[in-house]
Amino acid sequence: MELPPAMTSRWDVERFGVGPMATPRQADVLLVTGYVSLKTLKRIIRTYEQMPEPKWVLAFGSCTVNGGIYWDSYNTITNLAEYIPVDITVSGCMPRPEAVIDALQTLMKMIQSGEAGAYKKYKENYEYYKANQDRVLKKTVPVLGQTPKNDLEGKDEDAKE
Amino acid sequence: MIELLLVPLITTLVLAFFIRYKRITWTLFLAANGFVLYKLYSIYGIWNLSYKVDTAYKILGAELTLGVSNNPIGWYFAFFSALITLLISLFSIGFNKNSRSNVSVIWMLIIFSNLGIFFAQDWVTFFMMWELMGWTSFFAITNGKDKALDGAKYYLALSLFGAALMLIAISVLAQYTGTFQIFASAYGLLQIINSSTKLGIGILLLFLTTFLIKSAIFPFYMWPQKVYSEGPEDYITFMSSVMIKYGIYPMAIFIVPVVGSADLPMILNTGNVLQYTIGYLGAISAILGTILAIFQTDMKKLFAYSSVANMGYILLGFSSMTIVGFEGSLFHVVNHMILKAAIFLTLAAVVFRTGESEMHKLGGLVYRMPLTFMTFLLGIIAAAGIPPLNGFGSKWMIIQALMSKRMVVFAIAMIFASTGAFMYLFRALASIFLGQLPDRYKDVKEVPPTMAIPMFIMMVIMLLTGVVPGVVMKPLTSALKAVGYNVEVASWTTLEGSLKNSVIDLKIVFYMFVAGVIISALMYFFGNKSEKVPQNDNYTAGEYPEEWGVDADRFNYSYAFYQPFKEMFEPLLESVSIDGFFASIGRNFEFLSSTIQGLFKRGEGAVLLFSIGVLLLILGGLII
Amino acid sequence: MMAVLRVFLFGIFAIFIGLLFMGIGRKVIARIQLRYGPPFYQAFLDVGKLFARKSITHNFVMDLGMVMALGGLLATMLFVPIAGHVAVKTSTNLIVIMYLMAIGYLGMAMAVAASGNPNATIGVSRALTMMLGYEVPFFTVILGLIIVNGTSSLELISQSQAGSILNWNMIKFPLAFIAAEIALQAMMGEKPFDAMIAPAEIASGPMVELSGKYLGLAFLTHAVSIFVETAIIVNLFMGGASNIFTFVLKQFEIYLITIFIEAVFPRFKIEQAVKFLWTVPIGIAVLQLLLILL
Repeated sequence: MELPPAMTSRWDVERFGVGPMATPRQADVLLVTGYVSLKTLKRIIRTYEQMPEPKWVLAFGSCTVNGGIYWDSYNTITNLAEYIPVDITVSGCMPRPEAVIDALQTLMKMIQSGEAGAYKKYKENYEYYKANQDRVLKKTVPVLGQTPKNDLEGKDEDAKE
Repeated sequence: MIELLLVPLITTLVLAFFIRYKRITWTLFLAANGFVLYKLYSIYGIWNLSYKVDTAYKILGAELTLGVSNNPIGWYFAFFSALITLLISLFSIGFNKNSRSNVSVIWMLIIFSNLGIFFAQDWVTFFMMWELMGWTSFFAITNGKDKALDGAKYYLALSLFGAALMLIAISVLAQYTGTFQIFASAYGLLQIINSSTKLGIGILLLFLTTFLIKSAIFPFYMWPQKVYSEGPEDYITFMSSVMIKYGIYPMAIFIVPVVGSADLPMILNTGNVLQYTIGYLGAISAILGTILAIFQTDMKKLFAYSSVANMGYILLGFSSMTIVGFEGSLFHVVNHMILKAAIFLTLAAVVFRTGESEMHKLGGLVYRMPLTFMTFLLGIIAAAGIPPLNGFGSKWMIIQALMSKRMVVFAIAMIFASTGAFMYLFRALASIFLGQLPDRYKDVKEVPPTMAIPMFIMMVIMLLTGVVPGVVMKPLTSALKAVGYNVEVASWTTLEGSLKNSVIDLKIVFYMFVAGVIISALMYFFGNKSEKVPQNDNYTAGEYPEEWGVDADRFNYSYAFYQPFKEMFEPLLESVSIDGFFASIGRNFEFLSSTIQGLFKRGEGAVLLFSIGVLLLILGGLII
Repeated sequence: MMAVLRVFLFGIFAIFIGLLFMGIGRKVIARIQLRYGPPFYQAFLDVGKLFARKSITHNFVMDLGMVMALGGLLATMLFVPIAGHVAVKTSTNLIVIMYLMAIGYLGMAMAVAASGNPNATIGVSRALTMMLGYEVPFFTVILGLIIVNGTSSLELISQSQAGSILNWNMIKFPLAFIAAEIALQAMMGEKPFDAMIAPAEIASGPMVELSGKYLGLAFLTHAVSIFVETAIIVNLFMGGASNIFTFVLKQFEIYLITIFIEAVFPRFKIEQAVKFLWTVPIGIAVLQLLLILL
């Protein structure tokens, strides 16, 4: 909700050469805005892996840092950085558009000074991230992929136990 | 001269003996075609060759002489068809390895009639060869398949109808001019038109209808799609590239000179009535063929309609009646031969490997058949008329001619058709070769060398003709000069239009294209390196398509490709369908014949018929 | 050697001017929408960044197609006279230019369809439909001018308007100019005729799978196409120019008109766009053609 004002006339992030892109192939920065449920996480990971290098992640709002008000929810994650490498976070719930712009500019400075290179960490510690992802994604079984037959089998097993 | 015809005829007999041994027949077929090509090459420029059988008979007051002679325009058509046929026959060796039936015997007979048509000296020989070609192709199309019977019957019926019209026209022409000779009768017809216009135009229209049927021009545009979708693929290649031009050849040597010099009422000072008739038929064929091709789902039907559109271009070139338009049309004949042969060979290769000709069931074949893809790509670039491949030069000349004669409607029709051509050509490219490769075609392989070599040669010929049009234009212009047209022999790479300052050098166009590609390739190499990802790694808004039951086959967008566009045209296409019109004629005939049959079966009918006959006899006697 | 250098310089020039126009265009749009807008050199930064990034490809057709796209448009550009200069000595035939332009679009379409993303193919199918929509009115306009001048050479047509501003075809045939402007809008793929891009609907259509240098090449292709299309209009209607600076200025005027329309209009659906292109501009163009012929 903070991004449309940031992009349009009032704050106009385009003056810094930043604009929205339609697909991950064209994007440099992945903005994760708001809380991340497990289903969303799965899509975030696919999107992140489809972005060509170099790529950066901007985690946005408290929810992505420590879960925010969803800190004890059963199906949201609390810290995004455990699953994909995060370069920069914006705290606040919710942050103002100024904060977005500030974060983007800080990210630019970090890129220029060579500080922001979290995507390299993802490559190096792929096992760590993968293990974390698998641990939580186990809980999400695809809803539509299942056939009714499997369901019945599962129920049968439950009944036996 | 006569051995040119005898060799195919004898080969036919020999092939009929060995019909069970595929390897022998197809090798012999190739050899015979090689001989024909060599022989044609050797008789270039010797225009006084001829072979005649003088019979003492006189029919309709005209002397009956059967003969073949070497004439320049006929040579031009025959040579390039022989070249293409040779390449197709090389392809056929590999293609027919596993086929059950053997089409080579009939095909050889068609090649015989092909040469007969192009070299016939008189209308009787021409007619005999024409008939031979008509019914032999019926057998070649069906080729033992019941499924193909419908299309083949349609084709045969149209052929016979056309032949009947031509027979009438020949008889009437012979009656009035006293000669069967083709060239002599052209002058005779001109005189008839100048003295009694209605009769002359009548004869001309009879001839024209015959030729239009064979070339699939507007009212008869339905047969290619019916025939091409069923016949054996390699023979269809021959049919679509060479046989569809049989109607163009007599138009070029007979109709165009007569119409161009006839003294008829003019329209807007640009052309006479007949010119406009031909032009409108061509324009309608070009537009209708294009629109219908856009909506096909079967690739062979798509290219059948594309042939209709291309025949339309050729007719448009004729309708301008300028030398540039005429040259452009004849040039387009050969260009279309080459590019259609290349395209249909690739389609045959695809069918050979996958057994599928519905485009939306294919996809991603570029991963498995790169050479076939390259041939197809060059073929469609040529068919779209984009430089530096062939197909551009001839279209350019036709448009130049139409513009210089201020035939604006025809020029716009031409542009509409050639822009629409991008739509259906790209649709075929994207649906067959690009996109996702379905799982069932994972182990498809590239075609074997005997099929790959002709395709490669086709690519070379397309590029050569595109960059050095002289290889076709030089024989063409010398042939036209030998016939008596006032033309200069073309140079190797330049084409001349009819407007001010309109000489284009295709060599420079090619160099510029190469320069552009080099600059852009430099940019490409200047960029950071890229990484290859598998075909299913695609942007799907973060979803995994497999989880939703979407496999590679369903992930393609190839069905209902131009749906919004189709919806625009649906009302029009529903109201204009010549097929329905023909079907109604067929139904009426059925009704009529069953009525007559009924009359015969019952006793009173016979009496009735007898009395009608007597009445007619008496009436006839009274009138005379 | 000189010829090679000349060709190379023309190519670089077209890319430079095209990118400059794109950058200024973004700024102008931003000002119309009451934004501050990016700096005018933003397009150069973007392209530089894209070429420096790593990219992904699906198969060799993608590489081939993108190179063919830019190559085809650069080749077209070399045939367009710029203030009387042409890269090589040719007759600058309009029909050749129009057909050569198609090879660039074909290459682009091929590359994106090879990526195997349905969004891309939908985008291409729309783009080709749109092409049929705008080519017919545009050619009708060109046909009128060709018949008036009796030549299809772009250079001769632009020379025929030399002298005062009253000789410009823009003044002499205002209807033709309006029709050509509308067709140009569709030709550049700007709003309201950008159904093939439609980022919110089909994820930027043809560009959906392009990354890094492929997207960069697509940007450059767009830049060159802007250059070529505006140059054709300037030659046809504004009498070319005596020096390159004036020529580019005239091109920019044409581009500004396009940008103004782009900034304020929403998007047509594809069938609405084709219906519009086949009624309004064609009607105007045919009216002009009749005025010329009769």
